[in-house]
Amino acid sequence: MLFNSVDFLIFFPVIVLLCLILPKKLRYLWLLAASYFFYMSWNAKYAFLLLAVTLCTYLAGLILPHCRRSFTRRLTVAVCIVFHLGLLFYFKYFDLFLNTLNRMLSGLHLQLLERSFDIILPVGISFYIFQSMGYVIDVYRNELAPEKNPFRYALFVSFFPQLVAGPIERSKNLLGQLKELDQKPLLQPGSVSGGLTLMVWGLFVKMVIADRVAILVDTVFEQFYLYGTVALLAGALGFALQIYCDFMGYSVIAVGAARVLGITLMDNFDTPYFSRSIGEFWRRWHISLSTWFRDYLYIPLGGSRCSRARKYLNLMITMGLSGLWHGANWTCIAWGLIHGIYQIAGDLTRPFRQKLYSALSAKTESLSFHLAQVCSTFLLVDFAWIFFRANSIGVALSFCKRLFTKWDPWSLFNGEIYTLGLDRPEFNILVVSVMILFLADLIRYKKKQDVVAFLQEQCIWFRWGAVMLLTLAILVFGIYGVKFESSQFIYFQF
Amino acid sequence: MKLKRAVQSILFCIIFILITSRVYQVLSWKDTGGDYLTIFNDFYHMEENLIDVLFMGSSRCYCAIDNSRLWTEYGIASFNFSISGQDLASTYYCLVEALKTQKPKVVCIESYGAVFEGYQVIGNMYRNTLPLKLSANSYEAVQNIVTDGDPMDYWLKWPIIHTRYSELRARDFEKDLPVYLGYQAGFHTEEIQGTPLYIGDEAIPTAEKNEEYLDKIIALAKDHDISLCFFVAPYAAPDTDQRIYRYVEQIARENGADFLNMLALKEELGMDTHTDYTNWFHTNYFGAEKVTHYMGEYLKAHYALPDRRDDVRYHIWDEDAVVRFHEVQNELTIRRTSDVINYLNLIPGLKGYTVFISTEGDYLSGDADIFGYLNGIGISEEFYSGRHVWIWEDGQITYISPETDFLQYGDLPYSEYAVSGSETDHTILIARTPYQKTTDGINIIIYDNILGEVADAVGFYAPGSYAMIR
Repeated sequence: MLFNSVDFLIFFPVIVLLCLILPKKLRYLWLLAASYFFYMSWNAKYAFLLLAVTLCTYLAGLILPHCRRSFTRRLTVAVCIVFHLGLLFYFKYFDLFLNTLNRMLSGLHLQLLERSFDIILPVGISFYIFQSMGYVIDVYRNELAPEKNPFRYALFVSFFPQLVAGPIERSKNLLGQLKELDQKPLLQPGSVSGGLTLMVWGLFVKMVIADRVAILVDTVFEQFYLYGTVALLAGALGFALQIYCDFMGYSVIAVGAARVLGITLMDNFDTPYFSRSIGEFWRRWHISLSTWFRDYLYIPLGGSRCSRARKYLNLMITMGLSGLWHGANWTCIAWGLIHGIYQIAGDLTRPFRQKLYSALSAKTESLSFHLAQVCSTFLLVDFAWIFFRANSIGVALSFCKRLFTKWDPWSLFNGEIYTLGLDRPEFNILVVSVMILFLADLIRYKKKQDVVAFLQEQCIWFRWGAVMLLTLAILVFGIYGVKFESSQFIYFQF
Repeated sequence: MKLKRAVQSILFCIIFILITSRVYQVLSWKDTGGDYLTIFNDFYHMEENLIDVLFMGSSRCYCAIDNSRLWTEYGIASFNFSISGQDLASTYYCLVEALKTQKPKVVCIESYGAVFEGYQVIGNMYRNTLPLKLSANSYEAVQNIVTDGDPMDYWLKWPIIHTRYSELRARDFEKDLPVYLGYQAGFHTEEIQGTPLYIGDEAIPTAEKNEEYLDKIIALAKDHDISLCFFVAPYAAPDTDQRIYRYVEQIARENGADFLNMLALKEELGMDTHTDYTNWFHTNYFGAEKVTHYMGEYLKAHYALPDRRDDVRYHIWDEDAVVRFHEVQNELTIRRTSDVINYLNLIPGLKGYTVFISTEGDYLSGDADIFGYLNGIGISEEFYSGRHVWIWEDGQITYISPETDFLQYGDLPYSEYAVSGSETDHTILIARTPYQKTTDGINIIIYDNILGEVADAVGFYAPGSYAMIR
């Protein structure tokens, strides 16, 4: 059940209305049932996996406070983590492992291993496994008391707005709110209107921008060998836009839906393409995952408070695993490692760059300097996205080679840009929509306000007018229905 | 505070609904006959209980039955509720829809739907489901008709119609369109190979689903005390089709309904395979003339149908007759005239038209003496030798331009015009499109005020003998 489906359009109001009608004490049980129904709408069998993860981490949480010896505590956590990583490996990485192994065996002229079964990747598995592991680690670190109510804990793991594509919530934030669910009044006017506005905004960026630019991106990446620099650049820039709008759109809808239900989820994106360095990009992009890796992997590995070599190794491990988390293929690993290399290169060249700036008397606080930093960071990020989107490392390299060698600036003016899947009217719709997105991001960047907070400061005509226009834009220009097949949210596959 | 907030919310919701419904009107599906025409527009806006005879069926029905002729010749208030590819299931749901507001005395069903086995073209599925208003009937229709795609998309409509934003025309934004009661005249003529009449007794059963809906139609007609008349319009029917019609005839007769097989009446009708068909499957305007005449006589003879011509409530049938007359005049008279003298002779007799005439370059160099004919339109000697643009409407000249440096613009029914002139030439724009054909001669653009379209745009090239450029 996608957020941008008719099913969800019916499902969500029913859930909210019944939440209102049911006794407060039963709310979390109702939400739990709804969350399982939501998850099972993809494949009912997945529910067993979700249940297994829930049971395992719930029991681990209960056991941990009773383990007096440090060894048994560590053992409990280790068993729990190995179990979950095993699940992840089995469902998500087994194919990659087998293919890589076979490639090696083939190189040695040995018999290849055959896959005797098909594994379907359960939707959202990486998200709820990471969220559950985070809970166990928090309990292990005594940062959180274990949740004793199994149903409430099950709701924490399966809460439907963020179940399949995040944000990966912290137990301290979400569990606490779920405990108070039966105490606070539901459907507060501000939270409902704010939540619904966020959902509309999320649907706009997903259905009008992400799914539209996806048509261009798919055209370019599928036949990259036919195109020159201009089209490939359009494809690469388009993918940066697509993945941002796709994932940000989902996260915003999730945050909005949760807000309607009285739950505040963490923001997952904070204008990442306005970052002035790769480090800053990672503080603004997929924040829930970045902070998860920071808190549960990078810092335990030693973080940056160690030797430079060790720090760089920690960074590469973290970024490599972050890449692997995103996809069971070498392109995603390469994407993560490229980001690691960017950060190491940035760190290594910092003294040189600073010397250069002072030698050139560069005004490092000027708008133009910041703009140059934003542009250069964006270009680096976009270059890495090519690896993320390509079907293989070989394709990514060929794509990059063509990008830099098949120079065809005349394509900008001969209308070829309109042959990449989006004709002129569609292109115009995309441009106008991106301008709206840019404006919203600029406001957020400058005023530190999200769309809802900004709108709430405006007069009522503007506020309602904006929401109505966005809704109409979705209805008319959204990519859905018979002519257009709406694509799944990209991050579901993670 | 809470009350104020609630009132605001309700107010904005109402505004949103109003805007959305207008956007829906613009985007809505407006084609039931393959020519950007929808019978549902006039049907849903029609006063209740006006229709006496309802015709239903596929394109074969709307090509064969001319409502305006039934009106002008017999005073029969008929409506042609035919849709491209309408199968018997669609006929049934359209009949249910029709009976919500109308009480026809006779329903005539062109029986080609019995030959169908599913929709061949997705567009026909759209035509038969999307224009229906949201109701239990439309829901049931979608559930039972749609075989391609998600029925929910058809029922909600937006998932299909929203993509029409890229194909919108000015007419999508018009609320008052020319009356359309269902007949679609075909003016193309194709000689067809006739097929022999099947004279045996063997009947081939229609598809199970068709028979189910045939029974439903008969039951519905009985419930509403409506006379049913199944008929088959002429075409080069294959043997199999004719045997299926035999089966339909049996069912019709068993249930007391009439069956009029025009395949067996081609001689009585006077059908000519050289002149009366658009293709082997559809009658053209001349064929429809014969079919409608026969049908009018038949209806008058077999059913007690009142003559409504003097009833003011039936004004849309008068309007429809005018619209159809214009269609015929445009196609058979104006567009088939190619001689400059005849063309100029034609203009004074036109009613409901705006004509733009411009004289360009050395337009007097032709060998025909055209002054007398231009004078007949109202162009006086004073302006004859100059280069001007004239606008003529219903018998009189309403505008004469100076020779150079002028600009005149204004509205036309359903459209707009702009004429301008420089030292070298004139420009005549209708709906922002230039129409003049020659820079050395006479340009004549005839705009049809009733149909809201350019009926004809021709140039007569003066050097030589005013050869026509169309």
